[in-house]
Amino acid sequence: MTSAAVLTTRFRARRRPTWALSTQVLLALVVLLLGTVFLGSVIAPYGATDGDPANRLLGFGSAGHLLGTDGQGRDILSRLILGTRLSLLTGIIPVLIAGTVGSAVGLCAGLASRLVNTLIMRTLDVFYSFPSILLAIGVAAALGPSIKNAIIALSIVLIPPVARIVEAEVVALRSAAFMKVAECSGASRFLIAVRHVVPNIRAPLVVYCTTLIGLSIVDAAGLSFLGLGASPPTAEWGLMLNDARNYFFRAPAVALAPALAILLVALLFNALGDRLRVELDVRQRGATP
Amino acid sequence: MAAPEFLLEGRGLTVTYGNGVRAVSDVDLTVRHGEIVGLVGESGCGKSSLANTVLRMVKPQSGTLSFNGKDLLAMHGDELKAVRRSLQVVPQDPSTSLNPRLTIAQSVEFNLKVHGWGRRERRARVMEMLDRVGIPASYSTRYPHQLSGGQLQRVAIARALVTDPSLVVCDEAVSALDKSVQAQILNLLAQLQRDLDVAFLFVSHDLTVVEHVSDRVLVMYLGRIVEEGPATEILTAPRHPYTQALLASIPTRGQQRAAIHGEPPSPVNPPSGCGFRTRCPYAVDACAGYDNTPHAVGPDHAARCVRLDDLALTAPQAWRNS
Ligand SMILES: Nc1ncnc2c1ncn2[C@@H]1O[C@H](COP(=O)(O)OP(=O)(O)OP(=O)(O)O)[C@@H](O)[C@H]1O
Ligand SMILES: [Mg+2]
Repeated sequence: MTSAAVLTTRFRARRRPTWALSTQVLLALVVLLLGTVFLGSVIAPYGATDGDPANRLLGFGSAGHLLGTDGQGRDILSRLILGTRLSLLTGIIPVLIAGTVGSAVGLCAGLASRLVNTLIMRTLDVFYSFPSILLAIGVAAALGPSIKNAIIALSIVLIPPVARIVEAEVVALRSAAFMKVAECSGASRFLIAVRHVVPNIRAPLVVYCTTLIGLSIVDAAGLSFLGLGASPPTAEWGLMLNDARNYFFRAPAVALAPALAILLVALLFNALGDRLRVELDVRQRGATP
Repeated sequence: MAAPEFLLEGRGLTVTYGNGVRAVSDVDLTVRHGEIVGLVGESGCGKSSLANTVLRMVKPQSGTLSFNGKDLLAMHGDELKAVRRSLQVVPQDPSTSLNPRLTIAQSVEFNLKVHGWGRRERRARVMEMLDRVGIPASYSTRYPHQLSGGQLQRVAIARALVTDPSLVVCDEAVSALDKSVQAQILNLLAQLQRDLDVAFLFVSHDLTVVEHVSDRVLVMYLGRIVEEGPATEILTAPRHPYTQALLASIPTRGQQRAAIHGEPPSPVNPPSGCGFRTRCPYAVDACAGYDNTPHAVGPDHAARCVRLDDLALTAPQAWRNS
């Protein structure tokens, strides 16, 4: 082989072929959601707090109010659009934080000695034994109601499950034959972690975190619903649901819009996670082109 | 300093696991520079335990082990890392011994990265080794699942040889492959041994595989080396009844293969004296009191059996008819 050929030799795989249509559709929907976050104030027909007391509790399809109005005469569609920003923020930021901290903890625990591993994992189990929403409520209540504290509470709640997933993956990898070979080659624990462990846990981690976004959105809405997150009159889906509680028997439709928004977005991220599970698996890729 | 006679010299190696299993008992193991030593024995006799001891993956309970004249068991840190460069492994199943998330070139390259090679040198060297083991350059960016078992084992061999080692431990390196592919890989190993002057410790449960490549063969039973000698002598003039039995169990054209009767005894509670006496058709009372000292039966040829002098076992046929 000539030296010129050696220099142009790539050891990385060529980029994967295009993703399946269903994955692309789900990704397009996520992009649409992000677009709503940034362009919300442009798209929304009314302001978040523009109330019209004369037009309270209008139903779906009313003139000028596609999704009707709430108990203070505010346009539900506008509040839904403007609430996307906070709801996505409280869904994604805790997952980013927990994803980083949790995988670092899980990686360390997985590669550590038995004693250190037991110490870390049993500590995490204490937190993990609470239902996520209960723990979030506890932490948020202790810190005081605010969006920032809700995000902190959710981050803390999500660290143990992420760490457990990563630790389980790492422990399973430890017995793999290629890890023994790497050890035999004289590689340091750090180099083995970076080169052999991380590439193997990256895909499951991304998949798991994507599905966690859905959970985080639901929990964040729950915190706001309980008055532990955003405070009125902010447009936020959980808060809108809380507001609708007062009129539930007179105008159940008011609750329907935010409830469906939470449900659908959570489902969207779950479905996306499921698709990524397939897409990120190198074994499902075709032969090199 | 004159080079020591043996590249690898183990004396009195004993490996006992926490569960009381004595996997290796008082084993002497030597490998000369550029020599292929075969280690053969039934499943569970302790071959991998011995191989892992040589690789410094298992600590022996007692015994000494030196590599290139230096005490391998006392090494740690940078010194051990430097030795690991000259002491490589080709494991059994290439489908699990290569990281599924790395391209094969990345897997081979990793071994050089560990030892601080620069990027350019790494690339040139990896491509050279892949070429040597017969993997086309265009395959270098493929993932393991895109290659056949034989190709993967070639990659595993390239990975082991890329650091220019002086000893490669092959633990059942061809056992997971088809017979025809086995032959190709064995030929490749023999070729590489000639070209690169590297020594191999070749471990297998299959005597036909071992005799194919080895200069010298060690026969292991229940943690002990029962016979060792030049490959040709072991094949044509075996002296230990167990070696006889192994040879007789090789199926040959038109002849029934004779399996060894019974199961090997538990290594937790091995029989006293000779370990093979519970299955040996020639066993006598003296076998139970045998102290397992080896008896030289020729130059470089020794066996552990009390009846060496009165048993005239030469042809495997004698075993078959018994
Ligand atoms: N880590 C371990 N802990 C406890 N016992 C072990 C361990 N590894 C091996 N053993 C036991 O030691 C004995 C020898 O095992 P070893 O793997 O060395 O045999 P082997 O000859 O390589 O067998 P095979 O052909 O099946 O690979 C067996 O009885 C096995 O159960
Ligand atoms: Mg083995």
